Amino acid sequence: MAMEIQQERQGANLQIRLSGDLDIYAAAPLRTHLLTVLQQHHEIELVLDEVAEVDGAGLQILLATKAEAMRLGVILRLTGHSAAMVRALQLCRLTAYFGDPVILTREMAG
Amino acid sequence: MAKTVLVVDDSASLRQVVSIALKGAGYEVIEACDGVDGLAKLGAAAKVHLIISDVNMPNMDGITFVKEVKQKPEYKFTPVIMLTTEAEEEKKLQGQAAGAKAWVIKPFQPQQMLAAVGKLILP
Amino acid sequence: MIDLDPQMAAALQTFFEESRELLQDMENALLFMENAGADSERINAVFRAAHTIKGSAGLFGLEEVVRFTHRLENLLDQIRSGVTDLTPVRITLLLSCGDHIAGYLDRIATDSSLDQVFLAEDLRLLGDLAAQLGSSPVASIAPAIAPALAPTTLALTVPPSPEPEFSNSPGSVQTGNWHISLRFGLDTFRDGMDPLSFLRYLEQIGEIIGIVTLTDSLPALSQMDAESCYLGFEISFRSSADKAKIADVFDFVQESSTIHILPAHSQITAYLQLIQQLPEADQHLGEILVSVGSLTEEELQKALTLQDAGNQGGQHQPLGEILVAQKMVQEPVVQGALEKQQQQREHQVVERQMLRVRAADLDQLVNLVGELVIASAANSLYAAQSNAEERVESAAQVARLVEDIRDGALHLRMIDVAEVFQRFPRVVRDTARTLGKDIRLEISGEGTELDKSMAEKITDPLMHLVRNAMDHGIESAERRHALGKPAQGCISLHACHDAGGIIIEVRDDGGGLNREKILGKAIEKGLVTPEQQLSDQEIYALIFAPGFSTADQVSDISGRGVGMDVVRQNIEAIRGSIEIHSTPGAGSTMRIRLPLTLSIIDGFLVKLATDTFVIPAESVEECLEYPEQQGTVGYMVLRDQALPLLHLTGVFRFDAQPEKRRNVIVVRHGQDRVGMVVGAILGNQQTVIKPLGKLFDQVPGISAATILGNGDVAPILDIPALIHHHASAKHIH
Repeated sequence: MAMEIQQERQGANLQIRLSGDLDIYAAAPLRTHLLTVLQQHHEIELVLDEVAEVDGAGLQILLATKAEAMRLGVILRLTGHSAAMVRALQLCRLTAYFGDPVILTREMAG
Repeated sequence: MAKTVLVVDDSASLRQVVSIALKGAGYEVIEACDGVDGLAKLGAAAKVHLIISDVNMPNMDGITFVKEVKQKPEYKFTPVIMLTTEAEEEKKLQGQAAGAKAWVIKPFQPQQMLAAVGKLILP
Repeated sequence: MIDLDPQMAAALQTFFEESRELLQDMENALLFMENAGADSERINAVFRAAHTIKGSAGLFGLEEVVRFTHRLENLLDQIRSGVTDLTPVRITLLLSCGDHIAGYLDRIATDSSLDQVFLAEDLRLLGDLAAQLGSSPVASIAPAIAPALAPTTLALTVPPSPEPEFSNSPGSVQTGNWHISLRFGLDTFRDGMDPLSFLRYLEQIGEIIGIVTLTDSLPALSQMDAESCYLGFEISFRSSADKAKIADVFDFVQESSTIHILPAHSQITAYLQLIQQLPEADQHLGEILVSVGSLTEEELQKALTLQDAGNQGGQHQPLGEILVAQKMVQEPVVQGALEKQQQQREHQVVERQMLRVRAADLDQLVNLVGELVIASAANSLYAAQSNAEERVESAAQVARLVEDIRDGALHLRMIDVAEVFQRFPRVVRDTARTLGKDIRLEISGEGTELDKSMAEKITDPLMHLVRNAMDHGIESAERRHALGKPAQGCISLHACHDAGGIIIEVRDDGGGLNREKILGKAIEKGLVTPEQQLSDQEIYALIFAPGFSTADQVSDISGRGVGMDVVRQNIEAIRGSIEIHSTPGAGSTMRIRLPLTLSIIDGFLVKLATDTFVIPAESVEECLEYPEQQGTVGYMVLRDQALPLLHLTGVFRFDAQPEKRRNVIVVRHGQDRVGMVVGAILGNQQTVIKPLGKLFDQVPGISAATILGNGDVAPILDIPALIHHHASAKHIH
């Protein structure tokens, strides 16, 4: 399922919801989009509750975005991690790297 | 949602066995009997996550088929497993050049196919 | 032999069918090349057939078939690549190998064991194959077989391998886990590979104790190519798998990526080597190894000290450089491969796409369509009675469509006569060799279609006729030479459509039938009397009489098993007929006439009182007016011969008054001829045969029924039964 990017401005903050597959097909447009918004906002929330699949390319974009946000002093928060998102972060032991609280549902924990 | 695998081979029995194994592991399977049929099935499918293709096929061989697939924006990064034999090192190279970077050597057993698929995508 | 679940059992069935077709293709191609010389397209087809069978056999774990086919494939591969020529000896060997594979399949299908004779043949063929392999015989086979056999054990059991050296010898690290170091190539994603998938797969063969995702090579978001892969991982991994199995997880990326797998308790120097080989800063990487759990802090310090001591300058080679170097190596190879492929494409064979349908499903469809035809006929009748023009019109339209559907459904059962003929090149070749005669086969009329069930039933009679013609028809080479005929004899099989039926001919260019010899034999056997005046046709037909054989000596080819009488019976059982044309010295032709299908009959409609009956048109010889002046007697005179008469009103016990105008339909079955006395003749009509219900099943003289246009059921007369009935009735009186 091709990825869709929806965003909503909340004052100076920006909420972006990624839905669908966070994969190689989504990587290039997502990179361009995030690069732009990182220049324009001080606080960005990436809502990941509708991420269906994550692959290495998708994960890599998130890693680069996190690094870029830190460099620019932008607050980047990943929220509402879907099961697929949690699986990918846990597989690579990256939960701590992003530093965002991950809420595990029973299904994910199992 | 189960991932879909397209199996392209001119041997009906091979398709049948691979299909049984993959479905047993939780994949969805679409079958095609040659490259031409494979392209048609690919066009008709909602989404295919992995393609398994034989090298030697009538109408359109596996190499041409993979080249065609890789031309499609929606499938250019989709993994392709090529079926070759140990005697066909050259074909394997051609397949890799065309974009099939994974391979399974015939004859294989269903578990070997499951292993190859498992390395590339989860059900 | 193998216990399979129902799905796999069905797949195995597909494999049998498919393999038999492939073997047939292989045989056709070999026989063609035996006559016309080798061509790469057909050699490829033969290779592909063997190749496909081997591939599918492996899937079912049929090791013997894989092993045998593999050796066959070796020879074919040499022939394909031009190392070895396709000589007549090799064609014969390849044909025998095809038969042998068919033998394997038959035995597997029937679950029978491989008997001594079969195994002896196996050995003989393998020996012959090895002997025929070109430049590098036996030696080249051995290593090639190994991978073909490997899967059968590999898939189920992990081969026993030495445990990773467990020695806490001085210098080895403490941890009992594997260390895996991964740097994925830039093209990994573009190649359709996902590092995360490999890691998940890795988890299936062991446990990831510690993992660090390396982002050192990841450029800034603004600089990176989103489709390039910059990921690397350092993994501490606990598993009972051996190194080969762990390495196997990454086999699809091993060329494009940098992968190091260190066994448990490796020497510190091995880690040091690893640290040096990887692109990241040594100190940083060392810390990662510690954090993953592969090295202790102490071990790291020791390693770095070792490094400082012996450092002679950077052995570091950036990943990018390695890749570029690899690409430069690959380029010419790829180019060559592309050119090769271009050439091969020109030789591609276009094959027809077919759909496999179960015969039973088709029969049911045809049966349902038969019901539909009847229902439609009734519908039309009621519509006509209603006198409503629109209803009549729409009923007529439905009827037309139903007829189209009927034709279409019946057509589905049709197969090309070529499928029947395709077995004959081999039969003729092998029979000619046994007889020591040089005989070629000509086939024409492919494209003529016939009902599948009929095709199955006509094959044996045809086989017999062909062998018979080769054995008795075609003369020896010396005799042919003496007669000024070409040394090579010719058998031809021909098919065509003719007047609502199909004609299949077996022709030979031999000596023709010996009229006098046949007649003499028939008189000797008491089949005819010397006084009887017989036409040539009638004399030739005598060879179909039970127990008749003109061969001076019973030969191996046609003297065995069935006689020509059985051939005729088999043909007549499918409502066919056979006639012989022969020219002394020039050869003979056996002409078989078959109905188009077993489901449709050309019917001759007659009236008996108020009821309509159908006489199969192929039995009808002629129609005459009943000579009323002679009254109701058991015979009439036709061209100076007595013709027995059968009064159908009597047979079926009709109480009706004798018809005013009666007719005689002369019908024939085999040698017997009878006149059927009926009422009015309504003429010819094609009708669909419907099996009789249980109620009429036991009525003698009726074989089936059909539905007429007005919806009435019309019984179809069983001519052989009626003639037989008449004959036995006569005996009693």
